[in-house]
Amino acid sequence: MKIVIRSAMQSYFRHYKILLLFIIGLLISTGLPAAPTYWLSDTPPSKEIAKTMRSSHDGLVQKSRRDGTVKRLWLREGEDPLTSSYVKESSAPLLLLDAKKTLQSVSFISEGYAETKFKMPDEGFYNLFMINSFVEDNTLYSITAKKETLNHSCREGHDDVKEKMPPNLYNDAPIDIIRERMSKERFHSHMTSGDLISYIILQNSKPLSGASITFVTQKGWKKTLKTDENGLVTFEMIRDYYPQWHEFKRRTRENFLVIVEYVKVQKGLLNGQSYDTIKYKATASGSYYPSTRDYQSYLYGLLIGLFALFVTFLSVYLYRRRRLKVYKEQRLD
Amino acid sequence: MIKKIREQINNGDLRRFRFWLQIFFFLLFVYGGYLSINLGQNIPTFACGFNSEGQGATCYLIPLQHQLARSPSSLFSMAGIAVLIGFSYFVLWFLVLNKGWCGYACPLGTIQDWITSLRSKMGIHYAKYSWEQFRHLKKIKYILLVLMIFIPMGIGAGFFSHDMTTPFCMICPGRTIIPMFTGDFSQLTIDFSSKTKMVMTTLGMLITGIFLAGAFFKKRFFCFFCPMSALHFMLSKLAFLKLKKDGSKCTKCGDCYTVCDMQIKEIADDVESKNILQDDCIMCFKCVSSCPEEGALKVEFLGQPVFEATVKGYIKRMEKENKNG
Repeated sequence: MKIVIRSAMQSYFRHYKILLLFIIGLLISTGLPAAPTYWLSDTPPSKEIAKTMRSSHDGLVQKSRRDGTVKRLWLREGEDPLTSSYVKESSAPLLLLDAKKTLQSVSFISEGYAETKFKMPDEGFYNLFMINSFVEDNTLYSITAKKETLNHSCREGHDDVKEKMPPNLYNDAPIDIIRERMSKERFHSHMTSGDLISYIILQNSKPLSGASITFVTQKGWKKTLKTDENGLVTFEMIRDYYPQWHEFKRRTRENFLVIVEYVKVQKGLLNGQSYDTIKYKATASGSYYPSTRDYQSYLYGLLIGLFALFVTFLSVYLYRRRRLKVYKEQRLD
Repeated sequence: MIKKIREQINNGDLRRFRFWLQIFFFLLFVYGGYLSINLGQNIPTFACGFNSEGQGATCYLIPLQHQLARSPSSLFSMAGIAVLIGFSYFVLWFLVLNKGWCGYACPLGTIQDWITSLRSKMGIHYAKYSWEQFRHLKKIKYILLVLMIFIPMGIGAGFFSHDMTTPFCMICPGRTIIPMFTGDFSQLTIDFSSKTKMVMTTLGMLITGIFLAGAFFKKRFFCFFCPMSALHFMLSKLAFLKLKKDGSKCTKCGDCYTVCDMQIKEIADDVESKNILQDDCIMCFKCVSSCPEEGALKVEFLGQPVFEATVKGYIKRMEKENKNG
C-alpha cells in the first residue's frame, strides 16, 4: 500500500516537474529579446546591379564564358520582404550544399553590401546556409538563414529532371526548412497565387513539432501556424497582385519569407558562456508569380475554337449544297 | 528464304500494318513519358513538348525555335554550335524513316487519320482541292517554315516580343490537341497577359477549330501546311528510305493518284524520275500498295527493296477490300 502511494506520488511530481519547466520556458521566451531576422535574398539591392544580371529559371544570375552561371545572394535584415534592409557587411560563415550534394564553405564579400557569389556548374538545386550562434543573457541564439535556388538551362535538356527534384538535406543544420515539392513539380514550375505550399521543419534532421512558423508575402500579409507531429505545415499562397489590366505582367516575381521560431529549455556552454535556454530562428525565402487563372480564360478559348469549328463546317456544308444542281425538267422536242 | 519473306511482305496488308504502327508510335510519343521513355528533343515529328507529363520525345521545332531566339552575337558565335548539334541529331533521326515519320509516326497525322476514318464511317464524302487550289496551298508550308526560323531570330534581335517565343507552337494544333490525350486541357485557353499572347493564343484556337473541321472533310488536311514537311523534303535526298518508280512499267492507270491522301499527281504522271518523292508526300505507301504493275513502284531502304508493287499483292489486297465492303 505504502509503495503504491509512493510511486503514484513520484509519478505525480514527475509530471508536475515537466509542466513547471514548460511554464518557466514559456515565461522566459516571452520575456526574451527577439533574435534579429536575417534572410538571404536574390533580389539585387540596386537597379545598376540588376542590369548586369540575366533572367534565369529561378531569378537573376550572372553568366560569363569564364565562370558559367553564378548566383549572387545578399543578406537582408527584417521581416518584411519588401522593406527589409540590406546588411552592409557580415563575417558569418556560409555553407553551400550544391546540386551534387557536396558541402563547401563560402564567405561573404563586402562590396557595399554583405553579398556572396557561387558558381552553379550543374543542373539542380543549390542550398546556401548561414548558421550563426551567440550567447546573450544566458540564452543561446541559433540563427539559420537558408536560400534554395535552382540552376537549369533548357539547352541541357530535361532528361534527369525527376531525379533532381527532391530537396537536398543538410543534416547538421540546427533548423532546416524543407519545402515539399508540389505535385508534378518540375524545373519549369513556379509557385503561384493559390498554390498550397508545404514545409517540413527539421531539427538535426528530425521533424520538429510545435515550432512557430510565420509566412510573410511581398505586400506584408502574414500568417503564423505551428508544425504538426511530422514537422509539417501548409500555407495557401494568397493573391496580392492587383494591377490595372494594361499594367499586368504575368512574370511579376514577388518574394515571400518563411520564419521559424522555436524555444528549447536546455543548459549548455558556448565559447565559455553558459546558457539555459536556446532560441532558434530560421528563415527561408522564395518567390511566387501571378496565377494563370488571373489571365487565362478557358471560356474564351473554347468559344473561339468552337466558333472556328462551326464556321468551317458551315462553309463546307454550304459549298456542297451550292454545288448540288437543282433538278430541272428538260423537254426534248 | 529472303525471297519468301519479301513475297509475304509484298502481298501483305499494308493498311493493317500501318494502323498498328501508328498506334505504337502514338502511344510511344503521347504516353511514353509515363514509362520514363525519353527519346530526346530532336524528333522529326510532332511529339508535342507541351504534353509535359506523357511525352516520350519532343518535337524538334520547339528547341529549334528556342535556340534561334538568341541575340545575333550569341547565335553567330561558338554558342551557336548548339543549334548545329541539335540539327545534326534531327537529321540523324530523319535519315532513318525519311518522310515516313509523317505517314507512320506523327501523332497529329494519326489523329487526322482517325478523324478521316470517322467521316468515312458516317458515309460523308471527302473533299478534294482543285489543281489551282493545290498549287497555291502547297506554298503555305514554306512560308510557315521561313516565318518559324526568322521570327525567333527577330525575337533574339529585339524586333519582336519575347511573348512570341516558339511562334509556330503557339498556332500549331498539336499544342492544343495532343496534351488533351493525357488530360491536360490547359492549352485551350486564351492568354490575356499581353496583347501578343492574346493574338497568338487566339490564332492557336482558331487554327485548332479549323484543323478539326478541315481534317474531317479533307484527308491529312494539316499536312499541306506543315513546316516540318517542308523541312523534311529539303533533306529527303539524304535519307535511307526512298520511294522509287520505274516509269517503263507504269501504265498510267492512275490508281496511285486516286488513293493518295495528299492528291499528288506526279506519282501517276511522272514516268521519267526514279525518285518520285514529292514535298507533300507523307510516305504512307498507299500508292505502292494499290499499284497493279509489278515493280512499277517500290520502297527501298539503303538501296534494298523492302516493299514493292506486285500483281499478286494487288489482287490479294483488292479481294480483301471487296470482302470488307
